[in-house]
Amino acid sequence: VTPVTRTLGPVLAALVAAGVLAGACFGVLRATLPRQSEGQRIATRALAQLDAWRSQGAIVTLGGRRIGATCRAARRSALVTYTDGARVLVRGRRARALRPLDSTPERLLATTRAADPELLSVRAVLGGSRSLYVAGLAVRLSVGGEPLLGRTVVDGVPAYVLGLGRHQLVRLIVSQRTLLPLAVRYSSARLQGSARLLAAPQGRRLAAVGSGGC
Amino acid sequence: LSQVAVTSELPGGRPGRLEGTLRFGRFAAVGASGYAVNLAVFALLVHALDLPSPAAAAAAFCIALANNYLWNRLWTFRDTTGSVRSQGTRFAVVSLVGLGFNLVLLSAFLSTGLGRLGSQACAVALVLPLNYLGNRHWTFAEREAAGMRDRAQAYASIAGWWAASRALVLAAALVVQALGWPRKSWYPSVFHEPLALLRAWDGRWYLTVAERGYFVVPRHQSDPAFFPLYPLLVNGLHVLGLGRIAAGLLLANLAFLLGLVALYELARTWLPEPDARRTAIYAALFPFGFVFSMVYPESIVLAAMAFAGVFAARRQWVAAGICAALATLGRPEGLFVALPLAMLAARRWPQASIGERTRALWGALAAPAALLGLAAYQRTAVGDPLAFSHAQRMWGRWFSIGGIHRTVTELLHAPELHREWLYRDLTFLVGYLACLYLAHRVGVPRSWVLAGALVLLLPLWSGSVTSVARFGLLVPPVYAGLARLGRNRLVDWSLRATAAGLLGVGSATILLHWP
Repeated sequence: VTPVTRTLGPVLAALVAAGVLAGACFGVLRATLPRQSEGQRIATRALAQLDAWRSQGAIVTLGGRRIGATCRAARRSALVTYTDGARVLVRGRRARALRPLDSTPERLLATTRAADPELLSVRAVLGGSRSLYVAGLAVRLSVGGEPLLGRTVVDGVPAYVLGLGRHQLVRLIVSQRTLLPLAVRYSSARLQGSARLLAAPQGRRLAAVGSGGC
Repeated sequence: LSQVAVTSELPGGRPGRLEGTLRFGRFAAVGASGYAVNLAVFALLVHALDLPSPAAAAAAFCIALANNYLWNRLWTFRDTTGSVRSQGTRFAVVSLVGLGFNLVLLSAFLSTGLGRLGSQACAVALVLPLNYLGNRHWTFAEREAAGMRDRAQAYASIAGWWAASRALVLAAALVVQALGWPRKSWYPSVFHEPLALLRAWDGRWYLTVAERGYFVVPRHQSDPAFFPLYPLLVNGLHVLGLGRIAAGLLLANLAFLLGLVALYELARTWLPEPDARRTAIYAALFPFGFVFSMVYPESIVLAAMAFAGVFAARRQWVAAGICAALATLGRPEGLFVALPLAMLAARRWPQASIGERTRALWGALAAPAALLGLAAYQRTAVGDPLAFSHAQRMWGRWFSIGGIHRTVTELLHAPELHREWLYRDLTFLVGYLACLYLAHRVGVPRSWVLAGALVLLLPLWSGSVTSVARFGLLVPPVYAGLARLGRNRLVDWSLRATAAGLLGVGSATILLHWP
């Protein structure tokens, strides 16, 4: 046995054995640790896609009425303005009703109605506020729940239905192909509503921050 | 072949190569009989009595190991002279550890749809070598009677201090929960979930990993930052029907006892016996040691690191490598045990045979190899091989050259940032470094001191001093340094009393700030 063999042989053998150990660790972890479900993987990718997505607002159907909403960014918040005059300021996961700019009696009445906490939340969610979708999806994933509730078709586009938050009262519908939001639904014992979301145009997505979208 | 070579160096009677080979053959034959007994009993219990798989596996495992013990004592290791009681106890410990691994692997194979018998066959085949190593190097190792008596006394003393210190921690946790201090709303009822305090903070994350594996939620705190060994072992006990929180607490506290024994054995390779005993006792009473009773992996990692050192000092490189790999899969600090192992291997290199060189080098490479395995797994699970490091960003930690500047800035502005708790970690850091210096003076090998210094100082480059008090729990020379201080009887008892008081206070204030 030459001195070279006495040195190189053990080094090579130890390296191979270390590789085997690394493989064994990988194998044990792969075989024993629980893996995320397909729905959780889809929701994680959708959450990442929400980063680049901005909303201009939505066409909202609430209480049998069809109404338009615009959403725009305002100082780390999103301002949702409905065509009936109701305004909701969304910051993170909190929503607050604002007094309408032009306070006609009809608009004041709309604001008073929006002060109902659940109605206020519904208006914030259906108005297209992205931060609420991000927070809701993150909470759903963090508690380890299954976010994928099913599949549907929106205006001919195949889509996934993702439950948000712990109780999944809000359901975000994202395109199966792009995972970008298409619509949102709200359903509780008291209130049902839905909205077709209006995405900011492709070229304006980044510019939308602070201008048109939120 | 390497197994045969190792067997030829068995401590029991130091047999020659031929005798070692024969002994290995006998051990393998007994193992095969145990394997057959295990499968037969399992099949009988599952098919004839329709028992659930975990219960059948546990029973089959016990019967097979009883069979193995009997034949190994009467035939394989017939020239060893250990008492049945002590040998049987060691055999039971090895068996229980093996059973834990057996159950983890069984649940894994069952989840792949392999079928109950096939799953058990694969699990037993993988666990058998672990039992073999444990029994060969520990259960049936020849010991001098006088040495054994000393050790038994030391172990009894350490176990006493372990029991007392754990009773203190558990009592403090129970009392503050009963009082609802400092936030009544946080606690569940004492009757519904006693000791809820001990699963606070990172405990929640380890339980999340156990429950649903790794999962990255973009721009949110995610669980890949938490290493997988402890959640895997929790799942192993969970298969037996134990709740995950109870499994976590049981595991952490029992592993701490094992860790103290390992620390004592490691310290005996560095220091005289009285100092080694104090090393383990101070670790049991250490003010921040309430973490060892929480749903955290620290106790398991301490045990694995210390055992790695003990085995390496005895030139049992394969066992040392396995322990180093386990330590690394438990916490990132475990990786640093590679340094003393590498130094011991390098020192041994000139006299070692080719076989021993291979094993020694493998032992030193085992910790990095385990980390590589984890990185490969996280690459497939969450798409990022460094997810364990990147996930730390959401806790405000990331390594960079300028990280130390961020740490200093944070400390200077701690009052304005309402982070006064950082001073607690800073105080512990200073204490740890002083103990490392004492350990160096008392003769602890430089490689251990250096590894300890890296464990303590590297986090400062991640931008914060927070949790350094907890990281330092995994630096064995710190306790050896303290033991040096305690050579004076008055200082010794003062240290014990102060540490016990602080341990109680630390346990009661867990909820105020994360450890």
